[in-house]
Amino acid sequence: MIPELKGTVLKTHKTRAHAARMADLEATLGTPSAAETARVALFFGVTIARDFDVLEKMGMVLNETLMGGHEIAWTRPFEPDEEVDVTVTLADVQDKGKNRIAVIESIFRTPGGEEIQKQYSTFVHLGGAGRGEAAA
Amino acid sequence: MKAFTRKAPVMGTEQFVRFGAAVGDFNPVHYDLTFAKQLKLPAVIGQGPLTFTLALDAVAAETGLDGIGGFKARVTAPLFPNAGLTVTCDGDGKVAVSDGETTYLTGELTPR
Repeated sequence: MIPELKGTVLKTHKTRAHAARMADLEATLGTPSAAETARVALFFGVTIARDFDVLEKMGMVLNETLMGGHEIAWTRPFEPDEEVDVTVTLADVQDKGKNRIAVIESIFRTPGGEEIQKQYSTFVHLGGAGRGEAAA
Repeated sequence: MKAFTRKAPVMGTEQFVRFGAAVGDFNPVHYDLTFAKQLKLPAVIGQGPLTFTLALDAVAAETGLDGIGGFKARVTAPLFPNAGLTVTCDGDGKVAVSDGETTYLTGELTPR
């Protein structure tokens, strides 16, 4: 059953806070404060989901899934191009009406274990209730 | 916490695509009108993380982020291209993004 996946670590992964992505984000926003913002809001749950296929593990289809909410808590901004270890955990998953709702916790740490940022991303899979039970 | 009201930069479809590339969100609902209409939307929509980022960027512009340790927000409406958005923050750190008629995001800042 999908609910039994709650609390499980879906993925651990090494990645990088790419300076090029920060620059892209800064240019897209185009504000004087964008460089500072891009060093904090560089990763989102949807990025994690796409890179690691975590939604598929829960029978959720990314193209049918929208972000319902997001929380970031940070100890400091990311340094350009620094390495980060990401741990992705399924904090909650439930079907509500016709939709499936999942909350994914993503913790970003340095290779030495210093926590940089913790995120909670709430995904809503429209019409996704009941899907993927066999795959779980 | 400093209260403020600030206009956000206008985001069109081009910005949706560029933002998607920057954060790795390639859902076609953000750039493919046919796909969006299949989902019964009248137009493509911006990413929820984009609305989140616009709110955080307004905070960065007004106060800087050094004194902030977190931001928790709920996306309350889809963002269509070229919306004229205003970000407001009250003295308790309650943040909202709206165009005067629709509220797209509500959230709360956590001081460091």
